Amino acid sequence: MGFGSVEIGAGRPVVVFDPGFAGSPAHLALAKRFRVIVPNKTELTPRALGETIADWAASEGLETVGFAGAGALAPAALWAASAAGERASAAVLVSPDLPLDDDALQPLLTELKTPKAVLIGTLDETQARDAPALYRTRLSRSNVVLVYGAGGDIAADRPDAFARVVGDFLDRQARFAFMTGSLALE
Amino acid sequence: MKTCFLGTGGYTGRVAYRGWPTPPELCDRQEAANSMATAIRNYKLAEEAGFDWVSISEHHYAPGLMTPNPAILAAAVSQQTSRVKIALLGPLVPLINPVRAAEEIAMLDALSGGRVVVLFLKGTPNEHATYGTNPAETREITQEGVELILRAWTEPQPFSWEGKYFQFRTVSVWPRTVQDPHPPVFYSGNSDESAEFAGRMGLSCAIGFAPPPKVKQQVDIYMKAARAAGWEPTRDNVLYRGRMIIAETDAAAQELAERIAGVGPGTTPTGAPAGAGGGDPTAGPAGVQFLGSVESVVKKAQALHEAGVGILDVAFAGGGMSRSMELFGGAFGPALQEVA
Repeated sequence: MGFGSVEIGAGRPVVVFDPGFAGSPAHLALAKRFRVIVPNKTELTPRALGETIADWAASEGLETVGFAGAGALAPAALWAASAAGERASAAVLVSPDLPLDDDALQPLLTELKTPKAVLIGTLDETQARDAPALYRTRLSRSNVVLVYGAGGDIAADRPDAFARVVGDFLDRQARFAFMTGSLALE
Repeated sequence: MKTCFLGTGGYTGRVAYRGWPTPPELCDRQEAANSMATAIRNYKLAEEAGFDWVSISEHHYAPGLMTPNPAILAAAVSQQTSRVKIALLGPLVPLINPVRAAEEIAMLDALSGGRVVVLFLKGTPNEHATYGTNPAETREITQEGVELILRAWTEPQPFSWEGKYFQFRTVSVWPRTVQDPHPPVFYSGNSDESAEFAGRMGLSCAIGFAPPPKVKQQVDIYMKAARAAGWEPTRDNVLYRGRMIIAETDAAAQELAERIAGVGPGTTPTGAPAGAGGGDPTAGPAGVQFLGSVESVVKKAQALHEAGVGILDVAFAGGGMSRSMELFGGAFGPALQEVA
């Protein structure tokens, strides 16, 4: 891919665009079920970064790959999913700093078929009060998840919750709306 | 000063049992129906007597307060009254599904034409045994549940909630509340932490059974937190709950109080610890915060008003409901309206 990355875990691959995520407790938690690849910090734009990773996934012969991006790198997950086409299983935007009025991004917001989840911390003061509704209405095929007790760095604030939600969404996409855990006792 | 009548939905038959839970076999089935009819009649009387609000609590497994789901009784009351605010004081958040509560309260707001007020509480220790709640977690559960309910009322689009105690993959409440953005929400101000939470979250504050100096202390904590969060509560944001016996004279009220002293904790109409008076040394052995003639009780109300209280939520203790209501409608209610 032309730059380094930190990779932990085995299973279906997911690329997380968030250099600070590498080696974190959330990374380790997600890696219990997935092969989690975190590209190192680069000077590439989100678009170039996403497209580079999509090329790398193709060159690796990956059948499916999930993408997640945090903050200002959230658009990279959308660009990667767009460039990866059918190969992209899901895109997760974490505390996104998404320029919703960016003309270049519009087709990705409205037409990208890849299922999308947007995670917003309830203590994140950088997100506008209407952000959940805005993301829900502006992004096609999107779910908005409010993560209680988390600020802007959801993975750091609630690592297990982060891994549970992101992992479940990567696994089940549209069926994410239904819980799978059983209440039955032995 | 605004006034709120706390009805009990209490069992109207006799139960010679003081423990909790009370065995269901002691409940006569027809008397259960009579009790609900009596409760609704008392709420209607309260509206006619001039109360501004009526309130309904949530309690479980005992005859004193047979309102395990206050929204059901409130729905009935909403159809028998037209003016009073209907206060759920309050749903016990650790015991309930918060999304279901948001839906029920929104329904109630629609049924009542936007007259709902709500106080979310964590419940008393015995009630945490009702549905198997861990008492050590109730404060955190309540705070998360309240935040979830507020979101459920205000988010215009469906969302998922990944909490510490609650996880919901789809929340999208219909109907919306009639009141915009939602009914007034109170939160307990009895502990320092909860008073601080109420102020920080922009909620109103309810304090129960404490003496005026303690009330003042809690109001100060609440106000400080509210100001730090950028808003300024008024007295209308502070409710006080207490038990009341008013009679023609102080002596007559005292005699009534002595008659009910020693009532067990399972049967106190307000949930107040009987005999303790919530730490109020003036409450006496029966735990009655407002005790005496109209003049004496107004004096107590004045002290609470000076402590920052704008709404009195009172339960008439010791029977004599009709006479107490008459006194309220005759002299006490108007006198309280003058307290400012």
